Amino acid sequence: MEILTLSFIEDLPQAEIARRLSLPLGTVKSRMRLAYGHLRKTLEQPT
Amino acid sequence: VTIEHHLDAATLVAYAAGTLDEAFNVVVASHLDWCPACAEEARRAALLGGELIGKLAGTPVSEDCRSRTLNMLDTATLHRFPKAPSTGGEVPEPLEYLLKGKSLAELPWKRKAPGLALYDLPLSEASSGKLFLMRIAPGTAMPEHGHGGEEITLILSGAYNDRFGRYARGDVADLDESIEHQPIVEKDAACICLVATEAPTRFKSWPARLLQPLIGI
Repeated sequence: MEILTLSFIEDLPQAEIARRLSLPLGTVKSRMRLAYGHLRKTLEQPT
Repeated sequence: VTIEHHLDAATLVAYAAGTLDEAFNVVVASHLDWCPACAEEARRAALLGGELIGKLAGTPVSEDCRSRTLNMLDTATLHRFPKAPSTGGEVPEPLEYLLKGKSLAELPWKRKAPGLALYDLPLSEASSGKLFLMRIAPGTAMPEHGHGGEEITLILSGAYNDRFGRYARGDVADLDESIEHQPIVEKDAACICLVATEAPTRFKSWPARLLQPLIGI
């Protein structure tokens, strides 16, 4: 979820997130996909 | 337009968060103009981003700041994000805006190699990417290449095939540095694409690498 926070709240491009977390860009992207899927599932669940 | 190849979810999140470079923004917005599925996903990503921001703890602000912000909201123009996709048109609306009403045939294409012509599109100085139109002649096989960074290609007309499948009008190839491919344009028509790159293409063969400074991609 940290990756989504860095993107939506800190306004950081993915390459900058990769630099800040010392991760390859591909890893940032795959974590972004996972976090987005997870957030989507959590927030769109009918309550 | 029947679209088979869509944008990566990570790209859509970056677009919704407003963190893409200008060159990539143009290609993504152009694809969304033609692709209702990706437009809906971008809208959803923006809403989820809003939910995330809404969960942040509040920060105290002065009464003056609060009232000025609320006043700005009262007078703001509402834009639908992303706008409803269009269907017709030779090019998507964001590109049409950059071409200032010129058709693809009217552009002063620069021939860079046999079967390959480019047209560079202007970007602001803040952009670190490169945005251009690429026209590849019917039946042309591009040299096998990788990418020095991210690259997004939107097909505007014609079609090509590579190891990932067939890419035709409206399809998007959302590639990163780990991908190598060799697009081969179909024989019946030229393939015209809108391309955003952040680093030069990495050709595998030495003749292509020798010609690369002249080609300019």
